[in-house]
Amino acid sequence: MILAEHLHNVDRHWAVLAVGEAERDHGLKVADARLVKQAVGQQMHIDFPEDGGDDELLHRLAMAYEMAAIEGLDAFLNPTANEEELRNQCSAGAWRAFEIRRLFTLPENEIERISHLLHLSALAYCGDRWSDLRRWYNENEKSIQVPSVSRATWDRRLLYRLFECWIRLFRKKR
Amino acid sequence: MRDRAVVYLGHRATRSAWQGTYQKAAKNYIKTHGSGVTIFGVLVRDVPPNSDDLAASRQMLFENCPGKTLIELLAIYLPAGSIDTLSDKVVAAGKRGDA
Repeated sequence: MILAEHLHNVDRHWAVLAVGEAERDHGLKVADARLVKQAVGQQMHIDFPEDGGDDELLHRLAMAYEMAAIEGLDAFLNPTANEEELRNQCSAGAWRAFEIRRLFTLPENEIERISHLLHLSALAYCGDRWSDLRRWYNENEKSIQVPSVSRATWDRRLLYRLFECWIRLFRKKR
Repeated sequence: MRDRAVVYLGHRATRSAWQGTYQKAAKNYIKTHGSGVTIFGVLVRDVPPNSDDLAASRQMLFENCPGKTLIELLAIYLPAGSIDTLSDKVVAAGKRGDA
């Protein structure tokens, strides 16, 4: 279970601090504001000024949190008693990276879209964001559709089938 | 693609002898918005040397190169027709302990 303390610790990871403390705080606020805007849609006007560099900042920040997560990935996958801190770092980094990456526009290219979705899903898995991922899937039903394999080359067919398997596993739905 | 490579290296760097070096480089990469990198390009051919081989790449990379990025292009010319047998020679050298 991820606690506020774990998020606080990962906010002070070397990769995140390289982004800059002020930029980090601004990036997290932008992510929050975008999430609220997405949730309320046209029903309410949210006044949150953004600047042209916010997209780039969010990409950089997501990458920094993912670096923190990856540093603790081995401890997360092979849990031992004395590596709890690294395990928590992995989960908290993935939690934050998911929070940001779920706001990104989906790539139009099919392979990039699949890669983006699997990436996002993996972050949700490591970051204990199952319910948020399922909600995201439900809100983006078209995006997670598996492309037809009928005329696909064997490599694409394999990729599409693997993608389908992973989506089913993540959704926990037949 | 470059970001993915940097993140991937982070996984390989964990608990390695070069973890500190990686952290220093990754911090610089983040601080410079991804432009603080040195990119090496290596061309291997088994034909007579020709400076035109790198000219198009050099021009294209130069035009899009951010100020903090260094690019080094290296061309290696082997004896004519030797690439086909290169892998056999490398394997043989490895068995002899030359590698």
